[in-house]
Amino acid sequence: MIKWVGIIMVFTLLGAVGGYFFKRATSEGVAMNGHFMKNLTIGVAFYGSGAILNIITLNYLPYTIVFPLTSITYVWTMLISYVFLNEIISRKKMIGVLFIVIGSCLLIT
Amino acid sequence: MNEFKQSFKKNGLGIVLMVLASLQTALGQMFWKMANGELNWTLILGFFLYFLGAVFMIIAFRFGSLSVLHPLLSIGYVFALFFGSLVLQETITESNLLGTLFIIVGAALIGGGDHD
Repeated sequence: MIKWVGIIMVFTLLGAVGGYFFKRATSEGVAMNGHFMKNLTIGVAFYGSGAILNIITLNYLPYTIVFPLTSITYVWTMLISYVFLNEIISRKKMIGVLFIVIGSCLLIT
Repeated sequence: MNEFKQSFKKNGLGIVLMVLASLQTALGQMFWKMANGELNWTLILGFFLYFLGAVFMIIAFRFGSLSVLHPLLSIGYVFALFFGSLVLQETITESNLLGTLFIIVGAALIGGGDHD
């Protein structure tokens, strides 16, 4: 089980990093230039590998566990936004993500 | 309360695009489910909608904070529950509804939480 916790942490992190590169891609507007294409490609690589690892995990763990834990992605997003984008992580945002994780757990019970 | 509104205003276009993205993602997955593991038009439509959802998400990130917009993708779970019961005739339990409520409250807090 410990092994799977690690894998869930990894694929949620991959998804969040993918989102960060998507954000970077559009930082200079949505245009088909080098900056956009480079960051988009990196984003797709991270996001895609996260999705593949998620699908693999679903083959070994029940959907009822994997689905709610996927929302851990947004905890990573908060950290990444704070460290790399200097965004404010307010108490409201933290409670909001906690609510989403709890809500996701309730959805599948 | 004023800060709450300001946060929504600042991220407004991004929030609208993210809600559309999560709608497309939820619809895409619904069509995959309807495809029943076969290669048919619902599967292709599902892929198209899922792809469109990703495009909308990427564009949305242009118009607001990542820490506000990315978690809003979870609104898709709410849409999924709605379509699951309406189109796929799946049973909705009390904890399903409670979970959806939690997600909506969480999303609202995040949308209105872009200031300290």
